[in-house]
Amino acid sequence: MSIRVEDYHKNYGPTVAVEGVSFVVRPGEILGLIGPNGAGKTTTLRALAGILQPTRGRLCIADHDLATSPVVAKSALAYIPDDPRLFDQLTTWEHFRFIASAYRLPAGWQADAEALLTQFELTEKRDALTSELSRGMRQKVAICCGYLHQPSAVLLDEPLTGLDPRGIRTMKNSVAQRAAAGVAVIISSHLLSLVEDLCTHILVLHHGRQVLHTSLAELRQQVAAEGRHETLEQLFFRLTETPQDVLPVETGGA
Amino acid sequence: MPRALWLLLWLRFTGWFRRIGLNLRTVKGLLLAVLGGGMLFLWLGSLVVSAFLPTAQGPAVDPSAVRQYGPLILLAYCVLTSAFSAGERAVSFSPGEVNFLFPGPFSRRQLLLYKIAGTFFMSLLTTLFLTFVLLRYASSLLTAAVSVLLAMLFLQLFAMAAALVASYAGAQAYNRRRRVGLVLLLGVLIFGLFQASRGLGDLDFGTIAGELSESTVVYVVLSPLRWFVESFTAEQVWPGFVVNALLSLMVNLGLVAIVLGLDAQYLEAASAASEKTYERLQRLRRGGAAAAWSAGTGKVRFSLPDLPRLGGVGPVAWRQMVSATRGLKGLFVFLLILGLTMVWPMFFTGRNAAEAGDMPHIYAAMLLGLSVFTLPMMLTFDFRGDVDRMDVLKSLPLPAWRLSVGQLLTPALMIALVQLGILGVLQAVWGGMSMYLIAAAAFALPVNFLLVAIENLMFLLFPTRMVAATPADFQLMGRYMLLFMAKFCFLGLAAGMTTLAGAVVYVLTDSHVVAGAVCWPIVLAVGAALVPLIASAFKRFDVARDTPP
Repeated sequence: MSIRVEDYHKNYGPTVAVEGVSFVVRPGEILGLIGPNGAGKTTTLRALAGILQPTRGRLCIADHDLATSPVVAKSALAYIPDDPRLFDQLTTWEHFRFIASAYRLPAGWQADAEALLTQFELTEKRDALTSELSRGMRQKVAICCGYLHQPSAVLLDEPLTGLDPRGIRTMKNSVAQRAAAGVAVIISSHLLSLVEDLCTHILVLHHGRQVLHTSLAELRQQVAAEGRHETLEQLFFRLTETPQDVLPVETGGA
Repeated sequence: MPRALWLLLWLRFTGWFRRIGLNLRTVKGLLLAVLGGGMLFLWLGSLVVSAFLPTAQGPAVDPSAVRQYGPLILLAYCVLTSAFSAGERAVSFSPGEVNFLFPGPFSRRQLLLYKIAGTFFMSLLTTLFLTFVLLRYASSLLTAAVSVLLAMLFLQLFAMAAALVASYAGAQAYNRRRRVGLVLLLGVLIFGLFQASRGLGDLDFGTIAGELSESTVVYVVLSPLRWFVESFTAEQVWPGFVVNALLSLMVNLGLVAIVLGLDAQYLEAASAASEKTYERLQRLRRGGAAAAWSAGTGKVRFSLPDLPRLGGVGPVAWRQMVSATRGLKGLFVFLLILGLTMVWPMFFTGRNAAEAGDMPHIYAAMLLGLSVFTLPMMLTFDFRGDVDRMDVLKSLPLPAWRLSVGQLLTPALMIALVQLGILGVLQAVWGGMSMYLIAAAAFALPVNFLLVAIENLMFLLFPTRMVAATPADFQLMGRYMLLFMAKFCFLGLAAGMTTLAGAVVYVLTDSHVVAGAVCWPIVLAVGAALVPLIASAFKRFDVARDTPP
């Protein structure tokens, strides 16, 4: 199993941010994490990245528990936040040098880095200070840093923000390629079209609760069987406005 | 510590030099850096000369005084660090570090070691400056440099240990305990001050400090801190300096052991604190010190009524006034500090005008002078605070001069109100300030308008952020140097013209009121004369080229 979350709770004092979320993302699967603002998506991703401490529950990356073996678990992980903050005084290539050293990449990583620069059209920005890059460029650098060490689990929080159309296409292709190569991916996004295009599974969070977790194929079958002709967008609004309607389709994402 | 974290430290260090080099590529950048660097060189040079000249006759300052007050100063710093750590129960990490290191394959202890190593290298830089500043209090360059480095490390490690102990103790309990502790501490302080103020006429600060240091509890608490000061003032390398420096080193190693031993779950608190600090820094860079303390979040409790349009000046000024009133927290903190510095010496001075003698006038001049130089830099509710909104300002359908007037009014008005408030307090305490109050009521607004106009003109000609982008930012120092020179030139011109005209009128009419009435439009005219220059500079400001990084 690449990513496993069991009974995850997160409280901030008396405020419950996430309540009893459980799911599994197997190698090759892409899970779309969707929900309104404040639903607990980023909190869940940050906990999986080891930044936030869960109040209760168990989180595992590549079968390693984040609570007991954090370093091994994080070695298999790439986390790209919604607003990636880079080291302002370092160039793009120096970021790669740091990543290569941090994840102990074998000699020859430079070729992979060059390929990523080409893929994300950053070759000209190789020696530019990241503080001088645009928002979209910085996003691309963060994505390349995440991909460079070839993680087995990738967490992407709003990955398309700031990207141009070509960047969006490259990003989508890169996620699909990695999933095809056996990487488990979680994408948190408000763009339902992205989720519909790219994801194999969806998880809908609302007020910190898991209101739907299923595969898109199953969901389509179920919706068709019920004769509802519903798009993902319509389903999303139905779930987040009247979440009790979800009970028939809460399948556990098998 | 993993090799990768050493590499990161090295890359950041070289990146810092590269950043300084990049800033020197333009003529303007070079000019400002030369000016700032020159100023720094002269300042450091004067410190070195003054420190080395008296060494033939021994230290410039009595070492026993340093030994008496030094540990108390270190203790005060530690107490303040623990009590007022801005609610951030965390070791400080930059947003980049949070993004890359926290999800990276590093243990919490490794990250703490990385922070300690980074702290050590930053302390080396600070030590370089502080050694020269404090050299006159030490017995030699060696004892000063080593002891300052050890003390700097101690302060950093103490803050880190305090943050981790707080994390370990748990947020809720710690906050409650800290609040209760603070209230108790304040109560004890106020009671102590009240008791002490009864007999202050008989005791000086040295006696109070001496008696305090000799009490058993304080003596025990101060013992480890005393080693730092003893090594600083040691007259012999062996045994005085070596023994005390080693003992200080042991204290620091003990703190490192505590930090690593606790291994508290600090990542979440550090991440939240980093976010908060980053946002505050961004506000500081955008809008100066007052904006940094302003409420970035929270419920809006009030708004201001619309001002008359006045050809567009009104709405522009209204927008700045709304921002300023929502950022009053920063100004309040500043005034509180200023107020405390005012109140304390009042205990030593007579409580009425007759007993006080010239003190009220000295205070009035001192505080007004302070307000003239500090408040225009703090209250940046004008073009300086809009550095990231210049494109919006340029798109407004207003002539540049009207926009400029609207932008300058708010800080000028606020500074005038603060100055009148200061004089009002002095009047309430001592009396005898009525003439100052009348003069300030008449002149504060035009004089402050002039000051703010100079600040804005310099900003538009040499756009720079309110805080340094990197440590040792020579360009920012250069800009401040230039700003002070320009301020003195314009103020000298305005003051010279006004004084000359006022003196002539006073001689002819023998009336303060008539002389004042003649001076007033002159000050206003000098300020108004700057408006077209500011408008022109605003029009020439190229958002793409001139917006500072």
